[in-house]
Amino acid sequence: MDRTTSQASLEAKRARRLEAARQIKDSQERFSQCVEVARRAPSLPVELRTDHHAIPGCLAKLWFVAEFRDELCWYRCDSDSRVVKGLGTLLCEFFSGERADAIVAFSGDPLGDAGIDRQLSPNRRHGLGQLRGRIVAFAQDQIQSNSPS
Amino acid sequence: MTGCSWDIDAVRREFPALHQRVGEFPLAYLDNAATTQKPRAVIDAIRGFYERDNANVHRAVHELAHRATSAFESSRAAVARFINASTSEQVVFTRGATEAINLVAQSWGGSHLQKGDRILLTPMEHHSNWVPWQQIARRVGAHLEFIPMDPSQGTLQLDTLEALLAPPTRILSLTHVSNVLGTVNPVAEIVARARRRGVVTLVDAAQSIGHRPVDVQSIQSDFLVFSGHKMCGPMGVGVLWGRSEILKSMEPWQGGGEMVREVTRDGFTYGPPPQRFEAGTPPVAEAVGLRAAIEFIERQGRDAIRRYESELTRDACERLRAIPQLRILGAMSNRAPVISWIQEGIHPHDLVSFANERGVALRSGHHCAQPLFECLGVSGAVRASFAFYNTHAEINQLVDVVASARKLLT
Repeated sequence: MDRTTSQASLEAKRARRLEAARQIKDSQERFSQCVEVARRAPSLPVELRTDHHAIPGCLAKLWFVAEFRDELCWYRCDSDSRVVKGLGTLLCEFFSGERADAIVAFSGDPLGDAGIDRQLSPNRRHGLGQLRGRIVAFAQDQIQSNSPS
Repeated sequence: MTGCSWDIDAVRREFPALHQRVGEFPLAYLDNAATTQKPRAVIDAIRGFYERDNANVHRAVHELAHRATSAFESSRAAVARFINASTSEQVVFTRGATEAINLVAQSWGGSHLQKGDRILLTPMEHHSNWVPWQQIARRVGAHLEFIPMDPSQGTLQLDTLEALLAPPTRILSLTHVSNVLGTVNPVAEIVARARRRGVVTLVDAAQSIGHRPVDVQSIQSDFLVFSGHKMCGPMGVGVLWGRSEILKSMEPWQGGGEMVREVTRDGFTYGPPPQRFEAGTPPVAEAVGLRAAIEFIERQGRDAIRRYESELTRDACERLRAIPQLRILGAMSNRAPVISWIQEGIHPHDLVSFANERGVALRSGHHCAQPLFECLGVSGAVRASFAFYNTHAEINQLVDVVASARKLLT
């Protein structure tokens, strides 16, 4: 997948999210869907739910793992809060399977644009912001480590 | 109210903010330990001050300044009456309880505490009655010690109090009511024991002032502090009450404005309390609003408020306890209108987010009492806190929400 394709993939995902968000009739349904996402997302193994993988800034515990496979970035997360896990999973799924340069170049807000993060207190929003930062930082690291010196 | 003449509809009519919906649900505001809603009388008093009387206080001689000064000092007198202070000169206006404690820690503590001295607290203190003492302890080389607490009951264990009050303890600073557990500490008894040992005492009445009578001559502490916004008053004003002799012995902690008597090129002399501790322009409109809140509460009757809130709290406790896997923190029968709990399998923030979607305003987390949560062995809790304008219908709404959350979130 080249960069243009990956960028188009992210834009398409964003459009699908916005369309899906439009189908949600109210905030209660949005909340239920977020919890459902958390339910179906696999838990991180206990050995990965450590301080090393924890993201500070969120009142709930939030653990994050990133991998670089087949020239693409892959992300997973877990939390002791279903809401945070649901939102974190949506964020990780959004950027997973994409090229690092497309992730870095993408400026949209995959959760906020669709109003998915309404349930968040400012502290939690900060925690999710940190997660997005870690997703982008990982992608940047891959660009640097794979660029010709 | 069962067996009483509490006209809840009439009370609620006085609070404009209560009459709104969150989405399709009526608002049930159950976050009163954080801040209370304001009656129309308070809102009108503040607006009236700014519309008619706004001027800076004390020094100017024009009409508006006279009115503003008179309103400000009348508020001080109202506070003195409300807490049964012997004179209004014992009432210092601050920005809130936190600033009042900082004032005592810095001013009294700065000149009375020395290396090796002990500052006695309880594990159930709000960070506002914790950090100021840590700061002064660090500065002078004093240390903090704590009256033990029974985590299962949520009450203080006073059997070791005599030993803890012995030298080198210089000050005991404790809360009247826990903002997490709702524990009502026997402050008069504890203060009496401290006084017998010559230990200075500060009572944090932030969580009690709006819910039960608070009488400084009965409690007999050296200091007592509270915030206006937790008793239907505005944010930005609070009170430090202190014994006259101790206030007179204290240095000002901030300089400028009304606190000085004379300033020369080489120095300054400062005025008497309470102005000694009110540097800069004080929160005049807020103090006027606080007086309106006091008068409003007095009209309702503080004993009647306490009775009604006790009934609400008992109702909520009993019904929450009936929900499976829900554990209320603390087991006191005599509880202020604060209930914190843990619902097994549900993160407190998730429950509170869910409740918000159904119009119920709760709070989650450590409630600015992290050391207490360490003592309790839990990381956070959900809290519902009531005021005299809450209703049994809102308790129904709360219980329904918690029961539904259990189905959705576990």
